[in-house]
Amino acid sequence: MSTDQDHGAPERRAEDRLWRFWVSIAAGTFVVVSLLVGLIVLPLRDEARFDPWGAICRAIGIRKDAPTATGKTSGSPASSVTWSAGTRLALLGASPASGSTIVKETCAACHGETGASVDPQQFPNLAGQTEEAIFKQLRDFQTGARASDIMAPIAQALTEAQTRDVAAYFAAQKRVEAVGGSPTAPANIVELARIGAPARGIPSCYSCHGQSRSGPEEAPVLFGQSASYLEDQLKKFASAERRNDMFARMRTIAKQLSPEEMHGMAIYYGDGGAAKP
Amino acid sequence: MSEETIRRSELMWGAIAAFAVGIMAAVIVVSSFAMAIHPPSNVETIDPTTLNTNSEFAESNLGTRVNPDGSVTVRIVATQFEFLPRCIPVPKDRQVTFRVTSPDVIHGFLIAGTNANTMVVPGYVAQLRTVFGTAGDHLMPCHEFCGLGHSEMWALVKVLDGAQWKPDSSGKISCELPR
Amino acid sequence: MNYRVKNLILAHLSVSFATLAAAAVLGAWQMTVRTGIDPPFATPETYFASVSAHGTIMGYVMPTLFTMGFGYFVAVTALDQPLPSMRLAWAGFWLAAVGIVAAIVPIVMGKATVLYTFYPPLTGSVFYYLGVLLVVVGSWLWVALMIWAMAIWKRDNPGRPVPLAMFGTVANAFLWLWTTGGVAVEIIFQLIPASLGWTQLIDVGLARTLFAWTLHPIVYFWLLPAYIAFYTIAPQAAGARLYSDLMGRLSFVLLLLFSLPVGMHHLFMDPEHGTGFKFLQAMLTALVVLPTFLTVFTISASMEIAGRLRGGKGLFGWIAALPWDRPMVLATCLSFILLGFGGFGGVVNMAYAMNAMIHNTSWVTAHFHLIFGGAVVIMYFAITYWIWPILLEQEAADVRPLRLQLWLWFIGIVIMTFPWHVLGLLGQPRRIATFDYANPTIAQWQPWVFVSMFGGYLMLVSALLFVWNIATLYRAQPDGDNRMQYAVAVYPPTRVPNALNSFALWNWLLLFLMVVAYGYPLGQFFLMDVYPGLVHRVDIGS
Repeated sequence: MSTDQDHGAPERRAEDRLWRFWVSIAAGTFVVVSLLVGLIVLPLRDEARFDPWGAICRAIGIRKDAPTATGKTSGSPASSVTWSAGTRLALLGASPASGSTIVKETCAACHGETGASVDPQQFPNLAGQTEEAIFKQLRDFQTGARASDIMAPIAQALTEAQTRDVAAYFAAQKRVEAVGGSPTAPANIVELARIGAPARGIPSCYSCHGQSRSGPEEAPVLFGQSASYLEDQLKKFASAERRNDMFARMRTIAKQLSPEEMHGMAIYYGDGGAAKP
Repeated sequence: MSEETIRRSELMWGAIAAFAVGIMAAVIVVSSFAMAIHPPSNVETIDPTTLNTNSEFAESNLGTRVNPDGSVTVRIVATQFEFLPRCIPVPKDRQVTFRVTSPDVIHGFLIAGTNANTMVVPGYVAQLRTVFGTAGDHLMPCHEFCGLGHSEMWALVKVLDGAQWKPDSSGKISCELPR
Repeated sequence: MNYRVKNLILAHLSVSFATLAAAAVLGAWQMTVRTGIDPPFATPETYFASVSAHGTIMGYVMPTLFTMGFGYFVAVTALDQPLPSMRLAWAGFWLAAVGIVAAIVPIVMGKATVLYTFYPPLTGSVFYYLGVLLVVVGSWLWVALMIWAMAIWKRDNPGRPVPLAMFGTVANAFLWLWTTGGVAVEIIFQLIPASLGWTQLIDVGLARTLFAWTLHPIVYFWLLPAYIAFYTIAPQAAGARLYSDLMGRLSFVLLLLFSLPVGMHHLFMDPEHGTGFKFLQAMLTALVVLPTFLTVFTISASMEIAGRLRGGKGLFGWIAALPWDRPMVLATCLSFILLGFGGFGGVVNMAYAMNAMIHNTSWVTAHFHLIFGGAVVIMYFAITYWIWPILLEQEAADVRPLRLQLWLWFIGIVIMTFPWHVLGLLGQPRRIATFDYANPTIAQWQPWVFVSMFGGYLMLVSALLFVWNIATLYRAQPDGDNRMQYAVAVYPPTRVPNALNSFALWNWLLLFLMVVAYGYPLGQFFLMDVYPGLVHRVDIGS
């Protein structure tokens, strides 16, 4: 673009030089003054003593002071599972084949060999459940974050790698035929599931448990579970008997639901209105 | 109208435009300097992927707390799709420091009707200080799209005056949302 | 129309306006959802998919295709020479067309509900990002053709000033090349690997900063066709001459310079940047007032000449004497008014200290709808009305529907965005589908939302009327010569300084400003210990 048609003309070149000179002066001055004010003058204003280097460091976000005191803490985290790259990569590398052997030995008696539970009211269907959900629950049973006399010893007998393999195995199975989501469910229940309740700050169930999975990693698939199992878990979240949900997400929501809503919701997801109480 | 007239009128107008820019810049500089107003720019990093095991943002440590030196700190986790805690009591006429972070995606923090506003970016602790001059309730919605439950993600800030402001012996104070 | 570019230009503009009409429908529906009326199909899935589609079309598709089409028009008519390569131009069009489909289909399927700003860690379908990237790559071919065309013309016309319309178009081409750098890097190196599952972690602060690099100047890319029309068409339409050609050149150069190193004012409220560079970019942002003021002055002066030539007397008498029945004159005036309102809102946005009050509230949405949807798009309409007879070689049978359409758009955007400003000050966040208006702390928002919805429907009617106008009204035989004529300056320059006839100096200066403004803010992510976030894909559920 710099090709000059009449660059031979000396007065043209002199003119170009003049433009370059004054443009550089103007831009340079503006930038230097702005940087002086932004990096030194304004940050110095907040400091008791004159420390230009400290001011510059703070202005560009380099912290010399330690983070604000963390305060005393008590209690353990809701779950010790962390959704880090390591966790995800390990799950991606899990082996459904080795999971299959473990399932046959330890899980099949209750949850069925393919994850179709022998008694869905007591034991959830695991076929086609997400890998993340199964893995997290198994880990929480291991650490005691989720209390269960039955599951704790079973989970504790597994290594971390084995829990991943089991999760991968169940996730790969065909989901139990979902009968939920009936359009004949009560309107307020359908609305709660699809749209949520802005007045109470309850997001739609679909925003985490729906197809897009736009919500937390560990949110399980709900269709295909038994209504009574789901209602039981909602009640346990509401009373904080169950508290392994990270950042109290389900406890916060369940606490806001009425018993009728919990019941209706369980039927909506569980039996689609087929099994009335 | 000669070319010279045009040139002169343009120069004059150019000067007026430059003057306007100068005024604007001066207003920005003077207001920042005199009132010490800065946008929240606390470049403090934190690992978002292990936030649920971080001691500062552990569930039991969240919420409003009066520090031993009398200052008030509110720690909040913004996550899909809620603020924890959802009800936040703060004292009237005292400086309150908010420390907010996210374990998952970007959220927004805004106390409606006030200047308290910051992005909540995973990997950083957003920190801002503010003083509430009047008692009353403020809606605190999430203001950046964070997923399908975004619209329902809000908390309530309750500004309490002296009589209602009763932290417990450990300095903690909490409130419940009306049902 | 010479040089066989008619179909090329019509193809670009048709796609642009077809998508505009579709996005206008979505916009009106979204506003209905926000009132709490609960229109059909309203779920979080549909609402946010709709917002994603509306933003993607209005932000990336409609203005890009319009600017490309108008750029080709200017290159051929102002330079009076063929395009350097028709094949490249059509390749650009088809790349963009494929990109549009690739981006929109995943949105409709609910696999790319990430909004048009697509802030990670939320990550949608890879086809969405590839689609947006294809539109950008297609527009890069346009950039190359514009620069190439100007180079050919300068070679053939040594020493002569490049026609102002083309100078502005090439300024916009360079602006666009600089602008797209940030988002292209973000898409290629961060989002596409994440959406393919190749990477599990993503540097959120870096992605936001790269996007801010693009997000502000993209508005100036949309804006420049309007400015080109202000300088080179509006005075002609009013029946007069341009007050000053040099002011036009200077404004285009200043817009190029001060659109770019300023994007961090979108990040004032972000925790990943210190105050120092936020302040520097706030200062640089203020400078954009210069070209705006220069333009308002020069165009007003040109219009005054026109008014006085038509017999207007007194201090303001010339205003009444202007030919208001001509859509271009009317639109220019309406655009200036909207620019004024929008500019005021923008000053609050960029004010380092005031931003906290309105950041990410409806105020921001109001601001960019006023500036872009209002001031700029109304000029797109007027430009189209102006060049349509040249493209179709047929005149509009009736200009009243054209004026009606412009007025509807103007009134609609005012009614829609003024309440948004109020709502922003009251603290209403943008990008939310449902509000609980029963809550006493926000009950007073609802009436304002209703008013704004009414404005939104006026705009929808206007957008559909526009499509109807250009599709059906141009049926009359042209009276005489209908070649494109650009406004001539009162004193047409015989020569201009090289600095105002080429872009080398300004590109170097821009490089310097970008390094100063973004060098550390981007570099810090590689210098400090940052913790990236876990990629959060929204397209993998079944």
